[in-house]
Amino acid sequence: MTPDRLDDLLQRALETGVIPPEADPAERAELEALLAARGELRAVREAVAREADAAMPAARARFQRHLAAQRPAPVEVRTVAARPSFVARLFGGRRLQFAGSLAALLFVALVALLATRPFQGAQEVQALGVDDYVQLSGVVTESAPDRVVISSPDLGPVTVAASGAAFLDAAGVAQQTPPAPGAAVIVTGIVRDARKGRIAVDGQALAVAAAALPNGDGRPADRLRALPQVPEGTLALVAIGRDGRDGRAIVILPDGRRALVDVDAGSLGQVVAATGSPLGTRVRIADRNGGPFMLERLPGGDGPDHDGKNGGHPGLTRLTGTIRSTTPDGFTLETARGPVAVRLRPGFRILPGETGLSVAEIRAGTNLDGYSAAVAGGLDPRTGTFIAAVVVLGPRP
Amino acid sequence: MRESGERDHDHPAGHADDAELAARAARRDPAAWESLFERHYRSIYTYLRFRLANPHEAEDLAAQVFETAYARAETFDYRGVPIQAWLLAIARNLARDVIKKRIRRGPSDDLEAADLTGQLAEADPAPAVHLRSDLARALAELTEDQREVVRLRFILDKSVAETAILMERSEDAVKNLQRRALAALQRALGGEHYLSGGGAS
Repeated sequence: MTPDRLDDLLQRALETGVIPPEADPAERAELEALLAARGELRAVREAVAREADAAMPAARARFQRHLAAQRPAPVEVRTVAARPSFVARLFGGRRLQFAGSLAALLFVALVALLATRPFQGAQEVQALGVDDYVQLSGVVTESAPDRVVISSPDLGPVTVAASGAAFLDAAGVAQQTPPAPGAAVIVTGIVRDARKGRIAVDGQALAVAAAALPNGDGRPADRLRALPQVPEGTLALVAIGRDGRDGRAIVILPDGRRALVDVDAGSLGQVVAATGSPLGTRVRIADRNGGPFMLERLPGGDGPDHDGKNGGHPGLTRLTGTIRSTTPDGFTLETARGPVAVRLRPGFRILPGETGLSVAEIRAGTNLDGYSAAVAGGLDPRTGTFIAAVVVLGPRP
Repeated sequence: MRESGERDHDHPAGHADDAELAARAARRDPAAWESLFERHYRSIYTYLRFRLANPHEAEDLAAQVFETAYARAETFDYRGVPIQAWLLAIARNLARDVIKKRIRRGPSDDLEAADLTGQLAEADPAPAVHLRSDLARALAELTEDQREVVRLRFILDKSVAETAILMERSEDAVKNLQRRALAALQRALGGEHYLSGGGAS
């Protein structure tokens, strides 16, 4: 047995998976030991592969932002002419006439712009922050397996990184390809870029809307600072901050106006937990003594009922039950229909609800066995696992 | 775990594909870079994860690899060298920088502890991965060259030829190194006595 010979035998065994027949018993024993050591690495490798898959959507969004930021901006080019005299500048040829015409044209264009788009204020962008969990709706304008662009009535164009997203048709059935241009969709995901005109979301699901979603009167959203005369409306967008403590919603008021509402994340979480897909749900807005507004779900409307079956979207649903058997990436939820394996998506939001726990305590590993919970997300038909995007905890039963 | 296209350069079509992609990447064609990202991100992340232990650090550094590569796009001279080799070289350099910074920060951040698969991961709250502590300790027994050959050959599934390019060694040296690495790993895991002795590489 020489090292060179053993090197070659090992290499052949690695390539073929079979110990070469010419290996003598001592060499065979040694090769078996070496192959066993290689086997020890495989389990860890698979775990890291899953981790890489989970990290990829956020990394992709970051890289796409980087690419977008590196594109050269258009350069303004000015021509330099010899400086004419004052008189020539004032009365020079047709310049005055041209300038007057140009000014008139610009004025007309400005009036037209203001008439058709009253404002495109910063309020629109402030609806979202980076790392928000968001549910929004819009119409698909571009569609590719890894990237979908939708036109949102609230935000304008929104780019959705779709590689890690589930595609659902109106019946909630998983599809291989993203919704086609022209389809009205609900998007769930994590906001990666909240800048005006560059809004990007790591898509978790793109679902063809099962019911028509309210659009309001087309005016941009305005931040709600005091309760309106009729403090009710229909949810058009919801966002929950990274730490689960703040939330925002765009509510279409009875008069058609859009209101951007800073809401208590707990009350928003209850609406999400009660519906799975809250867009289209009728809510009452309640004042909270100077704090963020509270949302209370109202019966009726286009949104899903309390069982998540009436309206809403069948692919974006909810489960309720009691948490059992927590694992590193999820838990088993004991529901009325039996146990369901729940896996937590990267970027999921957990809201303490009535537990009295803080988000930090929960993320630090507080044992949640026995707590009731409502989870919103979707069922992965390939594995039968429920993929949770939002978990709202309740008290121990 | 092999990602699609990882072995493209083993075939003539893969060469042509890589060459065409490299040419477009050198022109900073965004679509080419998105394609490179899709092909190679998992490998780069995995490589870094096995060097740095901390998943958040690996994620951040993996993103930096592509950003750095994009910034240096015009410097990549495609002559049959796999694009992934270039990206891995950037990853290796960035990881070294991180480890050096740790050493400079203080004696408690010792290189070996930082450069192992498991020791930081054990304390890491990331739920997705629970690296085995016994394997981490076993890997600690290996030399850096042995760990590198483990990462490239058995974690990233690189061929002997590719590993030789990446490590700037001969193929025979890689074969020898991989045997010694596996033998050292087996010994450290408490396996049966290694008959012919691994020795230091």
